[in-house]
Amino acid sequence: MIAEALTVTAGGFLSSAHCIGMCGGFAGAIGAARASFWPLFARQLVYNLGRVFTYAFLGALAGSAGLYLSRFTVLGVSPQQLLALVAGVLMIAIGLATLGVIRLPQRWAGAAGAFMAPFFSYFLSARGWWGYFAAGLANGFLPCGLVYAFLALAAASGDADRGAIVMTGFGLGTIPAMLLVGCGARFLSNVTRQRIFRFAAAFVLLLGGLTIYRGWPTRPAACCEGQGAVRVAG
Amino acid sequence: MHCAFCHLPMPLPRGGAAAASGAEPAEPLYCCYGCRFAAEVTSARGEKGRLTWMLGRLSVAGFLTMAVMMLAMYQYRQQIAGPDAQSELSRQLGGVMQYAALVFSAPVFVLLGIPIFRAAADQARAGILSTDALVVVGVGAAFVYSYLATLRGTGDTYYETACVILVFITLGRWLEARGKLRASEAVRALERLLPDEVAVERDGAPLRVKPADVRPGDLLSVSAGDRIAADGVILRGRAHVDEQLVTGESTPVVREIGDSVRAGTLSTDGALVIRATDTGAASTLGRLIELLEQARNSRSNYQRLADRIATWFIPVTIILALVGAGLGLRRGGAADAIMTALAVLLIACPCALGIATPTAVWVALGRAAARHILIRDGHTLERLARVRTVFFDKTGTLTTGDPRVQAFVAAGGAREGEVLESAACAASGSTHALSRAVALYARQRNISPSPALESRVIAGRGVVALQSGGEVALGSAALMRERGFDLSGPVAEALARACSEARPVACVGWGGRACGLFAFDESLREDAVAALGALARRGVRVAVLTGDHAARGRSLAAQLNTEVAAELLPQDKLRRIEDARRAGGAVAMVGDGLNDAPALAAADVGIAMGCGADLTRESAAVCLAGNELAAVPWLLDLARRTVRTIKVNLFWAFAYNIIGIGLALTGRLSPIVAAAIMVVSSLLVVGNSLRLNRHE
Repeated sequence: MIAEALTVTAGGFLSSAHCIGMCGGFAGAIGAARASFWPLFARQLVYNLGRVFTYAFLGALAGSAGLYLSRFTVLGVSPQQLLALVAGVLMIAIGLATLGVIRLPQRWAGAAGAFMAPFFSYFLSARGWWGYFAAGLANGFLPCGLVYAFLALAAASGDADRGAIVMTGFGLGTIPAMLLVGCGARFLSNVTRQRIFRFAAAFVLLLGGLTIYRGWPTRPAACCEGQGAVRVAG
Repeated sequence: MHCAFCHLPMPLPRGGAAAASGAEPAEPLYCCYGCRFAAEVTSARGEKGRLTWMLGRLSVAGFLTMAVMMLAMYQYRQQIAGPDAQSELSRQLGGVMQYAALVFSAPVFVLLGIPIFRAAADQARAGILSTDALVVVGVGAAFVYSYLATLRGTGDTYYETACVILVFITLGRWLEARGKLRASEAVRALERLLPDEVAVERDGAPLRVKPADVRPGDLLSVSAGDRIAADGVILRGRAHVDEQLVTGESTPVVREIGDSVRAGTLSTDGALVIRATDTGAASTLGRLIELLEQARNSRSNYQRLADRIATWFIPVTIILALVGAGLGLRRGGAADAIMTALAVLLIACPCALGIATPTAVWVALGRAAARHILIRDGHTLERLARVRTVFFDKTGTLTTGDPRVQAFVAAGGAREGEVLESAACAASGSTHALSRAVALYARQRNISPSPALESRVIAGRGVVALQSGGEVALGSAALMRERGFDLSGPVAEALARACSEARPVACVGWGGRACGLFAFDESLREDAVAALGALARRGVRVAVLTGDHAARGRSLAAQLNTEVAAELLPQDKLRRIEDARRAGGAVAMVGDGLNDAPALAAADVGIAMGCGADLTRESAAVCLAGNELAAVPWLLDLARRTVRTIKVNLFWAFAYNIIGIGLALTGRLSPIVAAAIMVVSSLLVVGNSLRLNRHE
């Protein structure tokens, strides 16, 4: 369990270059007011905690959904395995898209983003501690492929607690990168940034492959041993 | 009366027209909770700073709700695991979690439930009923029940249900309000056209006032690039004025001292000083806005249907909720009763039904206005969608009104080229439409006249020009007779022929003799053939009704490739319209709204062309300010699409209500799901209506 949480945290950390591209702007907006380093750092931390809280909530929701789904099996495949497959495929797609090998459809993400943006902007322009936290809470709900991939993983855990832990781990993993952008890190050169992106992409690919391997239906359920699904079934 | 946030008409209060016609209330009145909420969110946004009070409430409540839901999920897992799997520790932990949920959810009820309840109570006082207050009561009951269960230590708790419903209602109503705001964008765009303040000179003193406060008689200074804030007459200056807003004409026209200008038009390049004549609501822009608002306030048939249903919908919903509570009580006790009643109340919320028609109509009216088409009311859109026959008037509608030389005759003994050259020379001294047509005719024959030494316009008669060879007169037959010119031979014959066909003519003469005659007809609009063809392709019968000679009618029919009924008196046109209506479908009549006003009024939909400057032509239900015939098929498409959108919206609203109520009554629908469906269905309806904005 702890090992799993650590894996996911590492996954979040290593793939968080993705977050810099997507949510970096929001973090930047939080720090828009000129402030010295430590107040800015504290502000960013509060904002990120809000984001992680929402992830944890979504993880618990996904875990509960997984638990509910665990009653049904489709063609001898447990929903857990299916969800792990979904998570893996999503990760591989994101990895390939980051590397520029494939293009993910932007239309729906764009539409969802455009739909949420005006509401989100109200939170983003807010000041005060609660304002930063609320901005983080709202940020957590923004559509994001990486979050969906890890949510599928959380659902595959088939348990609210585990789901929450998976997503908390993921969220914590993304904090360092987000803090870096939020505190105005401009010291990364474009080349370095490109390298980090490549590395993150490769890692997301690897994680996706691993997730699929672990969830592969032909393997006996042993791979899921100790996980909620099995315990509940038994 | 309008909602203070989305600017859309208020729903009819139950008190009826008497209450509706009352004075504007002192406090801003909102049409729904969403608008009140959105107004509070946006009001304080201008001042940079903290989260607004309302948004702060929502985010705190959202945070607590997430926490409560996570606690509930833990309990859900325990339930699934079954009582055997529960250790003593986990049972105690469950008890602690219930208390935690109680502590977290109580603020949610206060933060979100009380504003909803208060708003519902305010609206009820204004005569607008909604199920919101009942939902809050239901949520309160669920909360109290859970509280008692927590105290006793047995029984289920529904804290998460109570919290989620409140968050969903608040979020959903907010989203809905924003959708409605977008539906009313067209009018607000017009209102925003004028600058916040304009410079005027009143009784010799310079002032800066709001556009609405400009008074007739004020001297208005307009800089280049400014919108003119009132109708008026130019006292000083000269500018190219963009009048697209009122005439649809995209090329700016020159306006100089003595010309009148209209509110809402734009001085593109010059500074002007204008004496205001009509201001504020009486100005062209003011009337335009008022017309659009009137159109929005009118209630179409579909809307009336929805209103009628809504009036008994709420009482029926209350009864159904009570029935549901009774069924739930028999099924599983008080908790089931509360949950069933809540689910019924939430799923039966008539919000989707209430906005199904107006949002579609508002968006369509706005979309049409953006194309310089003014529609008098929503009902017109419905009738337009049923149109099976479109009649066109000819003059000024299918033709531009610009004359064209149709025949030219030179008197016996005169050389054609010489006559034409003299006529063109005289014509260059006048800007009259017939003069321009003569000049054009000469140019087309490669005749370039030498300029006149001097020319003099005789009002209502023509023009007399001094040329190297003497005086040349170009004008009506009356001008020839007045000057004692001899009118005989081929010129007289041509004159008689033209008179019998009621064509306008111009004679040219010198040296005591009328030497030539021009007979005119009107040129067709460029887009006439295409527009009529487009209508025919839409399965609409197209015909031209004209008072013209049968011979000219036949040639028009060949040119336009359509049916032309000629030699019609005004009452004949009315009879044709009646006949077509009896044959089935609605009839639209397209005319210029002046000489054919009775026909426009008699048709189901009267469409007036070129009424840009004169928006209040009463006889027409539709004004094509843009003066383009292509707008007619476009409008027909828009109307059909709008009615289709309304039908889809209403079908969806009814279908989901009926199915949902059935499920809710039998206890198969959780209140959380019901709240989510309610939100989604309202958004679907608003989104479906907003798609009309993309009509091309």
